Parts: sequence; C-alpha cells; structure tokens
Amino acid sequence: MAEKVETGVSLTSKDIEMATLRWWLMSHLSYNYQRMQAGGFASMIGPIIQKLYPDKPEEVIAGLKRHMMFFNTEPRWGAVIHGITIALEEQKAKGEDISEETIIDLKSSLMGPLAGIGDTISGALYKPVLLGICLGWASTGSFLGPLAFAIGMIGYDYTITRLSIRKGYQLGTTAVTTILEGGLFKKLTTFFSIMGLFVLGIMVCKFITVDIALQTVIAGKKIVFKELLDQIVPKALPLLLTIVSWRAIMKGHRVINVLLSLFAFALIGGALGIIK
Amino acid sequence: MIQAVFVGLLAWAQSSSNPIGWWLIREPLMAGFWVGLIYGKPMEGLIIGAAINVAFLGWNSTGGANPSDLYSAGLLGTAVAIQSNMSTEQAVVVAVSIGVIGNYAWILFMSINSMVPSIQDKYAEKGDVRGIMLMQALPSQAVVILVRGIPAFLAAFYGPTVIDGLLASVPAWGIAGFNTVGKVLPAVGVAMLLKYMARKDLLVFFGLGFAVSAYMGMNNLLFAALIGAAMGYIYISLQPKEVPAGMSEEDEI
Repeated sequence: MAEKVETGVSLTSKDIEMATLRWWLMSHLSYNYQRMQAGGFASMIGPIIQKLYPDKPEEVIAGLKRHMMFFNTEPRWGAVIHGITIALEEQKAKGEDISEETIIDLKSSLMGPLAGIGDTISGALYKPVLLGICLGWASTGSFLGPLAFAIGMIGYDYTITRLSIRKGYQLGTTAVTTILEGGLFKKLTTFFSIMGLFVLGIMVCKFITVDIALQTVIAGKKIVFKELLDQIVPKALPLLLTIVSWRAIMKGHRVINVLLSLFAFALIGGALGIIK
Repeated sequence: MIQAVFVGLLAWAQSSSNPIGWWLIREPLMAGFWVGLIYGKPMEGLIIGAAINVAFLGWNSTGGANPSDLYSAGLLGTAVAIQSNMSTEQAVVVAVSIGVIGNYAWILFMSINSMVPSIQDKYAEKGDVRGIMLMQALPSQAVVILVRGIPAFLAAFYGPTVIDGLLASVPAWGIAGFNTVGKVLPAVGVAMLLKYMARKDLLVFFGLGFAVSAYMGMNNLLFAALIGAAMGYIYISLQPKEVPAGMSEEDEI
C-alpha cells in the first residue's frame, strides 16, 4: 500500500530560470496582510509542480495548497528558500521520503532569518550607498544619477535573486547553514557597514544644509555665531540634529514623532531667524 | 489635464509592486525625473526629486515604521512643486506632508489585496496554476489604480492651486520657517539609516566621514564610497581568523 509517488521527471536549467523570472516579476504583485507573498510563491512554483506530476492532478492540488501558506521574506536573498524548496519538491516527486511538513517547516523557519539578512544587505547597506552616490549626481542636475541608480538596482535585484535560487537549488537543504557558518555574511556586513557609515558621515554635511543664522552686536563688533562655530566644528548643527534624532529613534520614540519634532524646531527656529 | 493623466499613470506603474516599478519609478530620484519630463523640465524635476529623496534615505520597504510614504512623496511632491515653481526646500516639506497622507494608500493596498489569497485557494483546490497566476497579477492592478492612480491624478490636477493659495496667505517669517524645515528634515533620513547601520565598534567610521567632509569640504560621494570600500577591505583583512562558535560540534558528523 505504501506505494511511492514516482514520476522520475527531472527539472532542467530552464525550469529554474523561468521560476526565477516568475518570482522576480510576481513576488509582490498582490502583496497583502492576509498571507503576504504566498500567492507569489505559489505562482513561482506552480508550473514546476505541474511538470513534476504530469498525470497526478491530486498531487498538483496538494502541492499548490501547501505553497499557498503564509510566506514573507526578503525577495532577493530570501530566494535561497525557493531554490531549496524546488530541490525538495523534485526529490519528493521522485519518491524520496520528504513529507509535506518538512517542506512547510523549512520555508517557515528560514523566511525570518533570511529576511533579516536580506533586509540588512539590500535595504540598509547596498541601496543607501548607491542611492547616496546617485543623489549626489542628481542634485547637481546630472542624469547620470537616475541612470546609475536604475541599472545598479535592477542589476543587483535580478542577479542576487537568480544566484540565490540557483545556490539554494544546488545545495539543497544545506544551503543556509553553509552561508551562515561560512562567516561570509559577517564579513559582508562588516565591509558594507564601514563603507556605509563613512559615506553617511559625509551625507550629514552634504544633505543637511541648515545653519545658524543668529548674529549679535557686542561693543560695536558684529558677532556671527556661525563663523565662530565653524572655527571649532564646522557643520556642528547638522551633526547634532542627526545624533539627537538617531538617539531618539534608538530609545524607541516613533519616527513620525521625531519627524514632527524636527518639523516644529525648524519652523520656529527659521521663523525667529535663529537658524536658516 | 493630459499631464495630470500621465502623473496618474506614473503613480500606477510606480506602485504596481514589481522591480520595474520599484527601481525605475518608485524612488523620488526617479519619480522626480519622470514627472519633470512630463512637465517639460526633466532637470528641475530631477533636482527636486533628489532633494525629496534625501529625507527618505532611511525608508525601508519592509513597512511598519515609515513616517511618510515614499511613493506619493516623490511623485506628487515633484508634480506639485514643479507646477508651483517652489524652491527645493519648500518641495521637501510639501512632499513629506503628502507622504504622511499617502501612507494610507499603502494600508488600503495591503488590506484590499487580502481578499486575493482566498480566491487563489479556490484555484489551488482545482489544481489551476494559471488561475493562481492571473489572480496574482491582475486584481491588484485595479486596486493600485483606485488607491494610487486616481488620487495622484487629482493631486496633480488640483494640488498646485490649493498649495499656491496656501503659500500666498503665509507671511514672510512663515516662509522662512518653511524653508528651514526643508533643510532640517534630511536629518530624519540620515538618522534612520544610522539606526540600521550603526555598530558600536564601527561608529568611528561615521565620525571619520563627517570630519573629512566638515573640515575639508569633501562631499563627492563616489569618492567617499571608494575610500570607504578600501577601508572596509583593509579592516576585514586585518581581522584574525575566527573559529565560529559551535564549529567543534560538527566533528561528530
């Protein structure tokens, strides 16, 4: 009775490419609170399930249902999960003893950590650095800004997605532990953090252009506070504002409140002629 | 009118939630350029978009903590600013304010879309892959047109008149305050980024970047990225090879 579902269909490189393309274009199309990227995942793997079970419609239905479960990760680095899942589904279809629970557990347990990794590298490191450089160009009216940003992001987005799925597929279930234990992630984040923080320090001066406007006359001499301060720490006000906001956010104040506080500070300070 | 229609279409494409929309139109830098093109001033649009973008440096796509909506701020901020001939500082203030309202469009998008998976479940029951994919791709586009496209058209069409009227009624000291706000708000963007990036042991690099720029006036960011990359490389090269915790346990495998 314990007859194994065996079809022997093997996936080709093209199947993986097409799955990559489907995920890349469709992952967030109907992003929603109910199940986040579940529909995107099902759309990615649907045709693969169909191919793996050509004459077993009940297996296709079971496959589609298990991939309509809640799913949410960072879509580029997190696609390692997709590669692993495809590999597992292929082996399952070939009769390996892989239960439905194993696949669901694997997806659910990996999506969080990989979202953490992906959001850090994509959102907090790669994009801000590229954006900072491109904004520098764009603010002087150079069209190189948007061009470099578009190429830099599309290229990054597709390349990482494609590599993640391929690596995940190749390495099967060992993929994530390899990445996590190889120390590569730690090195990458350290490298990007140094680069990012250094660039960020310069952005403080470049983009926060507020200055002290206050001046007074003492004993017939005009004292311009900005000039005095510039001799000690130029750009002290932008730095101070950045650090105060950062500390406030770190202490758990809501960003919207920090924003509104700065708004009020600048509006009043500017109206009174203290800052400009 | 035609221009406002194009802004509406742009708002749809921008929010269609795929890499093309994200990277070619969503970011205010990109949106500013396209909107500028629609109104025949691509360079002005680009400069305004870039200024707005700075205030959104720390915006993160994972949602939740964003004080203002990146999509509408860049697109509509530029559309309104370019029609009203605002300064870039004023444009930033208008954009951030628009974005605070725009956050609701995101919540609506995610909420209305929440009906989709239930329909996809029905197709899964029938083993219909095509049905799942069509449901994934199509209904949400109507949602985007409803919550993004139409409001954007209205804002681009009626917004400048409203804003012009508001500006005309503000006294000079109010305008001075308003302009200062635009110069201060980028601090929120930088602070949000700092929150993600800051590691106590590496914070010295932030100080170094600031010092180099403040005292020497160096603010070429590509040059900064190259120096930063070199420092990053040197730093990890100099670190002693670590034995990751738990490595020895692997021996038994």
